[in-house]
Amino acid sequence: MKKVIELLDLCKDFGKLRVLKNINLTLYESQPVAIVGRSGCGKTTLLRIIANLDSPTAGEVSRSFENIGYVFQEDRLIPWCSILENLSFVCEEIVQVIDTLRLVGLEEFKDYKPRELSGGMRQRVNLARALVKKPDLLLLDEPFQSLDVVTKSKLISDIRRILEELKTTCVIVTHDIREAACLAQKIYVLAGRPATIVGQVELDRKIKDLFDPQILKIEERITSLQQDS
Amino acid sequence: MMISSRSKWFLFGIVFLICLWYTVSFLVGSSLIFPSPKLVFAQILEVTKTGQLFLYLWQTFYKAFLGLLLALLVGLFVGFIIGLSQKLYELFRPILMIIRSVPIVSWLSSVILLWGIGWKGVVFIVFMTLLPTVIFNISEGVKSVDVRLLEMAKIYSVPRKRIFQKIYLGSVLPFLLSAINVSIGTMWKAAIVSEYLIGDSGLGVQIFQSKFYIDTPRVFAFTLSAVIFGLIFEMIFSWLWERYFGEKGDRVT
Repeated sequence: MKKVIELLDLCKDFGKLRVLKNINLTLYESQPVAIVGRSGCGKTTLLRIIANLDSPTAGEVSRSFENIGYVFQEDRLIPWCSILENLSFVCEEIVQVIDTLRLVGLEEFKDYKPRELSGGMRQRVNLARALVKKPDLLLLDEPFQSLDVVTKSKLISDIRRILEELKTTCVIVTHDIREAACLAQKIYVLAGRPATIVGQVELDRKIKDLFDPQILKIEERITSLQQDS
Repeated sequence: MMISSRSKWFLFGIVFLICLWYTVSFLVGSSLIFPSPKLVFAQILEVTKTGQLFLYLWQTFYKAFLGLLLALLVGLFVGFIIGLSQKLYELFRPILMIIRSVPIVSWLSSVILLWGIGWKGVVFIVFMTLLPTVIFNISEGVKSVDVRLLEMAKIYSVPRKRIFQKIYLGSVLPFLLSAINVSIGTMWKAAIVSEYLIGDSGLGVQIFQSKFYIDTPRVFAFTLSAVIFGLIFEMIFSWLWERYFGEKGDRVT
């Protein structure tokens, strides 16, 4: 399998504070992975380094992807532009824009402004914008943070369907183990101060949804890894 | 036709103003010092009938509007540049603060020596009066650009031209409209005062001549006409603003 990204002994400092220490991580093509960790442990920083929005203090990052899609925590939609214009902002191919809107089920809302949509719909547009250029790597940064359980559950099943359809490499960072288990094949656990990867959990059986009883076992394993660190 | 509560109170305000005006003019007792509304409206009617009023209004309007247009063009350009760089903003700030505080009469000697009596000086003074407001507004708009949107554009390698069109212009637009709104009121005052002092046509010149012949009702008539026309112009602008940039549509839940 082709490597999409490789992090070697990566460290990140903010002033005198070391946030990430000796992160070693390799991501392969078409593989959905999750990075879980408690709030404020440095998950978003790690994702920003992968996306080349931040540079590491030490270590190496080798990237072999051209297009990237980034689903932000907040939707980051241009408020005065319609949904169609928001997507056309990143991709000029109108047919591709319409197809992606159809994929996330928002085709009929293309002329609406972001403020006219609900939180769940705005996150779908955020996802559509990340997918519109057919990215080699899709990064999701706590994408369900402000959503209620029902909306979250619906959006998760949509993302699973889309990822299976497009076979895109995907990294999701979240503090919620249930979300991670639903979307990823492999979960990396980020813990400690400074944070490092303390372990990984492979998911051999497919998790049905957020309420799958299997998640309990995964939660136990991840929590024990976090506590050990 | 239904009249809203706000409009009703506004109409009451106008009636109250006219009553107050009548009372003051009655108490003063001299139309040379404070003419009554009847005399003033008769004057307005007279200059309207002959068509002179519209000619004077147009003469003032085109100079004021030209000054506004120039201030917007230069202000947009300078405002964008100083909005993007804090150092340039600080560099330009003292100059702009001085220009903003200079009284209109202080420009006169230079303007008269440069262009003499005529329209150019009036346009220049309107331009100088409005320029700092436009520049400060635009630079504030540029500074208010959401850096998270710029970061999003960086992720997707969006070309600079499109970032400028969609993010910068979109952020600056409300500030530009607010600058125009403020400038519309100011441009009239600046144009009429400039015409009064160095103009060769327009309402300012008519007010000057009426004052010279101690025709106070005519001074009031031209002043009131300028106020009414200015308000109409402001209302048209506000209506256009509401129509194109007002809140539209309901939220989908």
